Amino acid sequence: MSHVGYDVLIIGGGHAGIEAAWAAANLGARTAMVTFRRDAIGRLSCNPAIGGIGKGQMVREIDALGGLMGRITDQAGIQFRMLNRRKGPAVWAPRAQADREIYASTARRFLEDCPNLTILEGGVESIDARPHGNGRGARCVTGVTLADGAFIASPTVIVTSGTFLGALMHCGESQVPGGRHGEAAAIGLSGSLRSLGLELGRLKTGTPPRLLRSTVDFGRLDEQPGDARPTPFSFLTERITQPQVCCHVTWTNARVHELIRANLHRAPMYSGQIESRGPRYCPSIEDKVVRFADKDRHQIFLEPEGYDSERIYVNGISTSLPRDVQRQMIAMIEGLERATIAQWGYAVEYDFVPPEQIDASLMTKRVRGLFLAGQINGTSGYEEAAGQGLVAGINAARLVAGDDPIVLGRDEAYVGVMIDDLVTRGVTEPYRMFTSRAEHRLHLRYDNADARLTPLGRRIGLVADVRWARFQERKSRAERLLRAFDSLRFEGRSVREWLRRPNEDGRRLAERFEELSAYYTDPDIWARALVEVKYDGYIQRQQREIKRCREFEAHRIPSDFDYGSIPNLRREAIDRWSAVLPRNIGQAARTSGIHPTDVTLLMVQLAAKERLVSP
Amino acid sequence: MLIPALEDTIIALSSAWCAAPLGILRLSGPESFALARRVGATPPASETRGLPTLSEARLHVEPGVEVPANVFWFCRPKSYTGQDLVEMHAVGCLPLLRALSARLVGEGARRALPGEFTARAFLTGKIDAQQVDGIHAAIHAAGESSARLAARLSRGAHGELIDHLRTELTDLLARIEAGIDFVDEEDVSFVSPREVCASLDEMRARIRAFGIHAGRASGRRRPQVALAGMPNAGKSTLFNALLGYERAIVSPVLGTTRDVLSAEIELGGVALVLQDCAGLGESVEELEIAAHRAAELAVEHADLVLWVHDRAAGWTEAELAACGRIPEGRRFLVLNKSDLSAATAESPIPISFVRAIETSAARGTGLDVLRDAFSSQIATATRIDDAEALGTELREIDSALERASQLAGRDLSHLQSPELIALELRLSHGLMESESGSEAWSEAVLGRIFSRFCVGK
Repeated sequence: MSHVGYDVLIIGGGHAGIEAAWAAANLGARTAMVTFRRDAIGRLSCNPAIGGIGKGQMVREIDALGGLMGRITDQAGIQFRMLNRRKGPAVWAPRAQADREIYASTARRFLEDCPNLTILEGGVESIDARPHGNGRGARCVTGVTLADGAFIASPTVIVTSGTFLGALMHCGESQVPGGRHGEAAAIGLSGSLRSLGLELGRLKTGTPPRLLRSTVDFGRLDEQPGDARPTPFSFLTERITQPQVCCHVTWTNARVHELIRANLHRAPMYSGQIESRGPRYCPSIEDKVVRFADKDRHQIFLEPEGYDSERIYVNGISTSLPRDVQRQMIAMIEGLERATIAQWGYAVEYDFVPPEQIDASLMTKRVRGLFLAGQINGTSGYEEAAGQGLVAGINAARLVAGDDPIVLGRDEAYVGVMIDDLVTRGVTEPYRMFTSRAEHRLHLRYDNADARLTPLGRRIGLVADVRWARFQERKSRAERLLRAFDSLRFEGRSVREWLRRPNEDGRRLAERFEELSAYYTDPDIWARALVEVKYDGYIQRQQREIKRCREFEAHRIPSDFDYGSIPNLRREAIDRWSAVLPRNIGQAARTSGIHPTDVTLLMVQLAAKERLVSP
Repeated sequence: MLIPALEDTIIALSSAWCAAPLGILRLSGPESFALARRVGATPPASETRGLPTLSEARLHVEPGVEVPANVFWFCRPKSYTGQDLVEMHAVGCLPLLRALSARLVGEGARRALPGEFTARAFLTGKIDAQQVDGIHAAIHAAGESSARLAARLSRGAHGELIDHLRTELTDLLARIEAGIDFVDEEDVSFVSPREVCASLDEMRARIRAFGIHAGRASGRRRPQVALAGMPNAGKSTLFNALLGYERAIVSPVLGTTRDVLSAEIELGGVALVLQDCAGLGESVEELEIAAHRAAELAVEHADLVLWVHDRAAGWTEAELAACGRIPEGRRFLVLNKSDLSAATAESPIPISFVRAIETSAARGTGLDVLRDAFSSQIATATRIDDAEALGTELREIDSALERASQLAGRDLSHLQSPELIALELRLSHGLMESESGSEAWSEAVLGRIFSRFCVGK
């Protein structure tokens, strides 16, 4: 047995693991990351892109708190686009294609240069725990045991196992254990989690084939360029200077659909070989053809995996059909007739831990010190994983330091919306962020992520001086711009009045006034000021709503509260709350299956208890 | 999300039957004084902290419509809820009070959840902690009662309308949200400004059409008291006396058949319905049929039946048989025309009633006693302030839809500000969220998106 010990130990080097390790180490915890292979850290296993609607805002939030994802993307991005530009600035969202190699190597470099952090290669076979506190089956983590038998002591362990937990890859009739193309699965860990008393479920996801770039006939396909002026993800990045590349667009056709229909019985999702749920928002091409039979074509994006990469990611035809069908299918698509497949599409089934078993700090309710983040909690997507990794890393470090966990509110961050959804409602399919999940969408914007979260990051010690200075500088720039809106006049009206008009995006005003043009090219400042002008009344409405909600988040429920003790409470409410164990009244009210009257009864009972205890 | 936030100023409309039928709008919370001022009430010049004060006001319901009211001002902590509390006592004309309530909601009040006033009294320490079990029982009962009301409403025309609106709204919202969340997916255009406007217009037209019939339709759902009895027992005179006394609004005559007349007056949330059988001859057979019919109609439509009996007349077999058809716990006896028959000897009443009351419709005596008697009875059977649930939220939904429509109509070539339209639609959707829990609407919307559109890559 080894005597090595850490404060925080992270299992996994994916997007959740990276943020968790970075956050814990930067908060001063002695941190270790255990991963199968050092060179697999930061892999983009599926599409070579970061951000998108809802997701892009999350990357900005991670960055605003002091996380890494935005900084890595700004270095690895090869095509940047701001989505939803034609709609109001409240729903703008950044997205970037990334160079897969640069992304992984940048991530690795950040971690290797990070003080307090040790990267260990190996597979974890079990998580070890001992009885804790008042008995009743409660336990706390002591460390992990590796495949070679070595024990590593740590009072906190963060599991970020992605799709590797008990993973099985499907490609047509063939089934191979493995968490990602060419990589092994984590087999022992599932049993270890079960023996700690956690329930496991199973989910499925898929990925499309990759093609050899030199065999694609791009000349016949439409180009999709990036923005002329790329917008960085990180608040620390001044500007994006690397060259931008194009993506291309092609389509499936009736022949392809016919081929798929003829071979459906060989698709694992249809043959019954896979029974677990896949995401509805990321349908395989088999699903698209079956469920939307009236469509005679589906769009495909051909995305380069890097500047020098020989591989093209075929976005839009995720599939687990057998290889011979994939080959025929590709050959039927315009521009791909002579394309060579570099990697087959496949589906992967993996274990997850239904997230009602964690609380909003991401620690399991059953085992003190055991945190879960990323796909293990039933989510999908790099950004979702990274957001959870960051929160888990922060809270593990805080637990060791004896500080209260931080919990992000639904009104503070998409990351907060996501975690709250997970712990109060659970998942039935891999969870992906959409802006429609956020009730305070006008407030949770790309442009104001720093205003929402950087002060918090500073308070907990994750925001360094450079970022803090920059935050304050941007804040004063936005204020100056707002003052300019009032002072500058054009054709008898102030700029502010002009901007209030629905069709006015301010471009002509920015061109006219030098005081404005400097800001127009800085989307976060411009958008932030524009939002304040255009949505004035709406923002106030939303702020009132947010203020209300805050009160409830602040109203704590003791963790040992007995819901069965509330007279007249419906059985269903007792059961739901006893399962979810909400931390506060707000969460209790959002728990699925709860009626407003139940909440009233709960509040009265809590008040009665307090008063009877301390009259 | 419906949560009983103490910082919200809440409003509830209840109807009380005291000496006179009144509708009471009750506001509790930090903004209650400010809100009352906004509809035209002014607190007395010298605000005597600690003591409740009374002022008279004409409250503005909408331009050109005012309602006289007594307004009671209670300063915290000396109020029932321990918060600033305002009570507006006005004539019990429900449509007016609902409109006033809707206006106050528009100004920032929130409709109270079941049992919320009681819960506040407890949470602010106005009620002793030892009484917590009683409080729980009261809140539970209010929740149950409101769930029953919701179930009742869901069956009628109101329920149909809400179902329709909910489906339409979810559908429209799904298309707008899809347009925000899935931009470069497929070649899908989810919804055009014209379609948004058309859908909103259709919903608003439905709400307006319902509003026209709402008075009539809702009559069915309010507690009803029927006046029935033999021809010539004095029902019409009694009805008119009550009418004159209340100066209430008479709804148009509902019955259109030649011989059955039914009229209705609304007294602070309770509908008083006259079941009369006019134009019948004097033969015993015809009288029997008339009595039978009056009883049948009363039983069918009313929660309570006031059986009007002419004190001077004897009890015939026909009358006893008709009376016997009314369940015992629901029948009251009104011995009418006591002035004309003062000399007549007291004759025994051969059938039991909850209570017997003497009146003289012509002189107007006994009317107070009558009203108090049946109102206390009906109050135990139904919750009168349930009546508030109907109608108010439709106005709020309509104004949110109107704002959405203005946003969508700005530019028909391109859907501008979908995020703001969505905000208004989400608000409307939330208003329809009944007591039956708050399943996240975002799940409903996402479900609709994924089943209708091929989104995702």
